Amino acid sequence: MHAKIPPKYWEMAIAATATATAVCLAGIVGIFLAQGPQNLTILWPANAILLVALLLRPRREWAAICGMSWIALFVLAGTVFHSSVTTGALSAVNIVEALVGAWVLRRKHGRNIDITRRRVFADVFLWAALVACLISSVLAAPLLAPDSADIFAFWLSYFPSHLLGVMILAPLLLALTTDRAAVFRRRSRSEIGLVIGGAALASIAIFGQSAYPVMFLAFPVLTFAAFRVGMAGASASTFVFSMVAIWFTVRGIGPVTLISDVDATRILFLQILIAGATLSTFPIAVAIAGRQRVAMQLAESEQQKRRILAQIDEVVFETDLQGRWTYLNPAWEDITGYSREDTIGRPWDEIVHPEDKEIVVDAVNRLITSDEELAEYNIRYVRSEGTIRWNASMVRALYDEQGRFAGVAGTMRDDTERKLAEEQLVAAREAAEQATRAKTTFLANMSHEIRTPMNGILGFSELLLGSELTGEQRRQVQLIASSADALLALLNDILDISKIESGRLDIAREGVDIAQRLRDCTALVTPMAEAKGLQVEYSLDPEIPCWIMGDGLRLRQILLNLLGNAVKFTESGHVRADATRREAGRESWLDIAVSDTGIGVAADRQDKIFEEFQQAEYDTARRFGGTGLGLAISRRLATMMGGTLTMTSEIGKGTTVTLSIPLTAADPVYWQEPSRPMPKAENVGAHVLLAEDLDINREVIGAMLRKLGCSVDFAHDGHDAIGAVERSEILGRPYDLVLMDLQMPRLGGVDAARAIIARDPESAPPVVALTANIFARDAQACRDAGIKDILTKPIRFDALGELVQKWAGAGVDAGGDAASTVAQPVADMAEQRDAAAVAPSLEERYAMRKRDSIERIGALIRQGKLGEAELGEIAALAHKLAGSAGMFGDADFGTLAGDLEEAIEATAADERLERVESLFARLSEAA
Amino acid sequence: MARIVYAEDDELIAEHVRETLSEAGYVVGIVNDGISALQAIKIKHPDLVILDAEMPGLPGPEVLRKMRTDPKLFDIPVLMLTARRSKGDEDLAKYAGANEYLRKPYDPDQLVAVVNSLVPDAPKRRAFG
Repeated sequence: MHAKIPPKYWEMAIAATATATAVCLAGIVGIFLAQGPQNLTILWPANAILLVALLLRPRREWAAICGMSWIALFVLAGTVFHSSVTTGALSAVNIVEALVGAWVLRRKHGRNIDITRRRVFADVFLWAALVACLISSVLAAPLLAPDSADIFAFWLSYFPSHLLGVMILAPLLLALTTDRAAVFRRRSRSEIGLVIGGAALASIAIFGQSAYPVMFLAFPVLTFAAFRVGMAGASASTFVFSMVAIWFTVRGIGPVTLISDVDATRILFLQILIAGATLSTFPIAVAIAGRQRVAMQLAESEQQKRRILAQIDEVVFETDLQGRWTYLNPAWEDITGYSREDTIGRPWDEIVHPEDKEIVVDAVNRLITSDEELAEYNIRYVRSEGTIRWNASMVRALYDEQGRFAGVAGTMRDDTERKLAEEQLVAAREAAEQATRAKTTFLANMSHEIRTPMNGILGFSELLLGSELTGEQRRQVQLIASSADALLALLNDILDISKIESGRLDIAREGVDIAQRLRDCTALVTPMAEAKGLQVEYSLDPEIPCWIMGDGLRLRQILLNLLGNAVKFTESGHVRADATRREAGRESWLDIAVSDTGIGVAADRQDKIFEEFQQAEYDTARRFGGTGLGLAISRRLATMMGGTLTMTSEIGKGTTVTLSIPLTAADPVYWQEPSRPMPKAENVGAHVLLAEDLDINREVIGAMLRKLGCSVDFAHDGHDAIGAVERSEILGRPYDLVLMDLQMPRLGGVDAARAIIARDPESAPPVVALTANIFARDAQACRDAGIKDILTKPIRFDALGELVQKWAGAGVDAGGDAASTVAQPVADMAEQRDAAAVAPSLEERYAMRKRDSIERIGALIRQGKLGEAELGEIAALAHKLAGSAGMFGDADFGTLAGDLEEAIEATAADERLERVESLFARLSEAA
Repeated sequence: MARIVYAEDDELIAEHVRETLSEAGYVVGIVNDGISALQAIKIKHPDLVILDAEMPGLPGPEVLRKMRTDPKLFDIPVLMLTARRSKGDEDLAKYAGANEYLRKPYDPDQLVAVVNSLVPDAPKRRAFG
């Protein structure tokens, strides 16, 4: 059975054997150098070998190495000493000496023994040499001395010889065998050889003669060796020197013999000399090694820096304080096309685009004068072949040791791509904006272009209908008018969709009387429904506040669309609009469900129906008419209001479309209801100026005005209009009303109006604008110019009549109304004219207010919690009741209402609810 | 016919007053807030201005003060209507330079009488400031 012996045991065996052999040889050398009666060597080299061996090998081998070496020493010592005990013990002491040093060094430095390091060298000197030899000498002296009288003398011989042995040999061996030493081996071996040879020669020269005491001349030689060739060379030279000195001295030759005749003294002197040599050379070698190490690190880091700078693609630069380049990395050449050699020393501004030089100067100034540490800027530079590119730079100021400005350092990066991308983006955005502007202009123009002839068609149709016609003629004219109506509706729808899509439609936020709206819308569709035999009903959840935040106009549009559809697609049964309040979490919603008992919509068409131009059936348009835009617009409007429009339907049973919008209560808004019922416009008798550039329109509107009993003068544009007004005043027949078309050549309606009013603000005639466009900003422009009202084309006869009545009618200053409409949003004008013609009397309205207020207060109280908002609302309602009750013969009620209002303001919080409830109870009784 | 600008935010009261005064032969223009009131007054230069003391935006006393500091307007007589209960309004009215004040709710006859007294006279000037 052959067990394979692992390599480490082989290694250990080899190490131990080699060491022992070397120790033996060294011992022989040492003995050979012995002199003196004690037969002690001047210099004992054996232990150094053991020490180095232990330092080089792993600890597990130490036992074997020490063991073999002990045997070797034992054998050796046996040739000198005759007592086995003595030889055994002496050998052991030597082993101990080496072990002490090895153990300490191993503990402190591990296996990393670099003799050129200061700390390692110090530890070798202190522990492996001094302390170790001290211990061993103290142990050995008694063994060597035959009797105690000579112990000190023996010690004095033993200690230096062992000390020197370690000090001379150990560094040399360590320097030769450790890795770090490899660095020094790179120095030409010939140089080392030369130096050592030189040292040897010098030593021979010095010690080979006995005439002159020139042994100290050795020192410069050795020191020189240390400077030139580092630790290995130094220790080798010192070793050679020592050996030579010993050799000669032992033979009685050399300057040491001049010192004394006594052997012991000579030996001592020699040892001191050698020690001195060691102490003067080795530290120098260590220091120099340290410096070389630092230099190497520096060189390495310098290399690394160079590598990095060469690799990055940004330019790294430095300039001196005049702005001349002092450093540029390789990237400079790629970025600018100039070579670095050509550029260094030249001023920075040669490469910068002339227009951008100031930017750089400013930036550097900022760095110098303010606290800013970093300046960044973008400038153009000119490459070697002439192309201009953009760069982005970051720059810092440099200061010298006195803190004075010494130049700048920074980086720069080619930024051209980003800059180009940025410019493209800007260009693209401008192009997009321009496209939008063009689209808006197109919208506005198209609106005008279409409405103008529409005006003609509708106007004349209405005039015709007002004249004597046969039945057949009347019917035909009605058809013309209704065709024109349909066309107008389509136009409005298309414009709405366009506006919504290009984001030009705004949803207003104002107070809306929701009950009123429902009433109005259902009223509008009722005639059509009744003609088909359908019932129209609506209901309103009492929890819904009277006034809600929303866009009244658009809500009306949606409701009319839904109701219109319901009526259109129902043959029999009913159409209902039910408004309810719904709480979802912390939000309140208003749901208006328009339901009918009509033909219904198939399940798969229900979603598509909300898309443009889709109808439920492909022939629906033919059967029922319509453009299919209404629902699409309604849904968009609903979404823009923050709500939804949904449908449920069953074929043959009916359809329900529900509009859901967020519900927020609003402050009541008092839009002017005309306090007089609007009479049929007749015989107003006003003197009117009509400024209109298109002859069709002049004819139509002029005819309408004459029908109203007005006398009409015409103007063709703004200038004409101003002139006409002036003339009229001079002639003593001022106009009662000026109708001003806004789109006129030369001078437009807004400017003309402004001019007319400016002439005589107090007695200028009221100016009413006629226009096809009703964009919000046009309304604002009119208001700003002092225009009192706006009439949209196409002009309807009734609308015109009301308008004339209002602004130029009897009661010289419909001035009262003038003032009252100044504040009104002009957009409401349109819907006002559609409102119910008959207004309730004041008393009725007061009764309504009383009823609604009581209802509302009751609802608020019933819901339980009375927070700030609720109390505020109740107080406001009570206030209104209190203020007006007295005028309508309801003084007592008014007093109670006043009490309630006061109670809310004055009572403490805990009593408040109770007091309010009790007061309200009395109030509702008295109502 | 004498012209009156009347600023009142409660529309029922406004209408009622207008009816009352129209029957007495006045032409009444109604505005709902202080800012419109000032605009109307500047344009129309009425013979009398009636202001509700509490209105949204610019309340009555503020309108009054602006009128009194405008050379073109300061000699127009002003009647201030104050709410039922607050004494403070009365003081404000006097301080701001109202020619007369009435408490709501007011007796229509009394209202007409006061208006009559204010309109044809040369206005009684009050120190303003």
